[in-house]
Amino acid sequence: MDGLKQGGFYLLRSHALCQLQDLGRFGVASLGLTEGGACDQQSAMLANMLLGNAAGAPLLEIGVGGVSLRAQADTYVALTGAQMPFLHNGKAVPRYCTIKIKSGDLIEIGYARAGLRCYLAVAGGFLVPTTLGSVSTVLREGIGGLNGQALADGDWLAVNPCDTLPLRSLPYQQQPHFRAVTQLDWLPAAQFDWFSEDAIHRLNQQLFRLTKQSDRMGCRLSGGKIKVKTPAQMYSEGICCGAIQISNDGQPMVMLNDHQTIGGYAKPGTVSRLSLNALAQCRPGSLVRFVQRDLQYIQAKAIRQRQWLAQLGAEWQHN
Amino acid sequence: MSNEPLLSIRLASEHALYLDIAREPSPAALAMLVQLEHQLKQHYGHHLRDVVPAYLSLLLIFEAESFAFEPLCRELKAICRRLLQQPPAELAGKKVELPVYYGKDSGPDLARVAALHQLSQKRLIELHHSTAYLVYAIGFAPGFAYLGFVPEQIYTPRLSTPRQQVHAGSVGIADRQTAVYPASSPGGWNIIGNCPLPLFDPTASPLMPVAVGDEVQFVPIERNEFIRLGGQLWTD
Repeated sequence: MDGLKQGGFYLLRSHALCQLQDLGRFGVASLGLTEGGACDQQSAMLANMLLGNAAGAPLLEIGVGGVSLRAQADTYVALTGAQMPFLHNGKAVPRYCTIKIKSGDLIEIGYARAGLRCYLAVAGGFLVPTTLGSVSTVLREGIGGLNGQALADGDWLAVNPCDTLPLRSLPYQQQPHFRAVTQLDWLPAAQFDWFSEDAIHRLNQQLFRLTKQSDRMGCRLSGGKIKVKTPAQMYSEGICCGAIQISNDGQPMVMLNDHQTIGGYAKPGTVSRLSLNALAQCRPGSLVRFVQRDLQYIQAKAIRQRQWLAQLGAEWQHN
Repeated sequence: MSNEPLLSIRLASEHALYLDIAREPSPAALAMLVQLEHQLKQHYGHHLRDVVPAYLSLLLIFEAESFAFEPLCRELKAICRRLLQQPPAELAGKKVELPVYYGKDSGPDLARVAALHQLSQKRLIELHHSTAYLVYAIGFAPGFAYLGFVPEQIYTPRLSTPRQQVHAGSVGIADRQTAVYPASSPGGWNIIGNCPLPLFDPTASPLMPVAVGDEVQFVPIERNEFIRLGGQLWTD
């Protein structure tokens, strides 16, 4: 058949924001390697779970949309995350749902109507060699994905064909929804004490807007200036995902998955992992509001979410 | 350094914390940092997802499921107390020699930095390579090791406008630190030479020749030797 490979997908149309990801690369931050991984971890996990995959199976993170693929295998796919038109052989099909695919089928993902990043998973996951324990693409480091690059037109992604799989879907009301103003739960941490009451008050009260300089490294926000109380001498220290870094001009930057591993800017605290999933779906121009919480509140919310996912996984195993 | 190894524990996120062990960087504090890093990795195993040592602190990132802040604080304090009862840690890191070609065709800032400090280029080069440096942190980019500290005569402020492109291998000074750029990147350090050896390779084992706590000694080499080792001369 016209020299096409079998047992995988061809990227017909791709771009720099279409990247292979999993849940991240760990254990190598001390060498300066960032964690990477899907920015909206929950959407990535749900895409995999719909197909019965391990939560961290390799999938595609597609920012903005505008990607098409040709299947060269019989298998199943699922799309989660941002609201993007999803077409199977030209016909609209639902997101958050298992879709059966035949070899030769065309899959098209249009541009996002709401949200920013969608996740396309395939039964069994894309078969890609790992680098340092993960397939996560980090463009700045030239690591992961296919040869450290984003996916390009003509790239080939191998899969194991899959004949039968239960058809699953996530009810609409359980899917994440996108709001006009995204609330970010944050935890006082790191250099919280370096900020005046007034500065923390501003952080909590003002609306901030995502700037165009936002990317997988971090979301740069603009709004009222947040000042450090005493500009103390600071030695660089490790940074974690979600850290709110205040730059010299007083604007916050929330670290996303490709953040630098160490830094010397003061940080009043850290956005919760659940709120980061929501932040990862905000586009430049979106409004966010910081809501200060304590550790107990944030951990309880995370536990409820993990329990919900575990319960969902268990239910899906039995149908 | 005080004889209390643990100054404070700060939250870093809902499943991460900072251990602060000193107020100023020193070889003794660095030795303690590295010793603690190894002990804690062994103690917590896979519950500890990542550890980032840097200057005065360790960032400990745990698996979300196994992070209980109060009990962890108690345990970490106990581990630190036990460490104090032992003889003080000594730096047991590797000693790594890195060849450097110092020249105007490998270090575009060499002449300017020498002039700034009213030193001959020869003297500047001598001062830079006659010191053994410690790796205080790794970050900014994979394999970028922050080395401290250069002799006081050659403390040099960063460029006011960073370069768009600093070549891989470039050896730079920023304030009292020095470093080698493992890969080409934008950068604001003063470049005085170049190291022809690869400093980070994701397919090699180990991935990089140095780790936090190691000692680096720069060894000056001639231009011919630099080119023989695969070094690339600076071109704008």
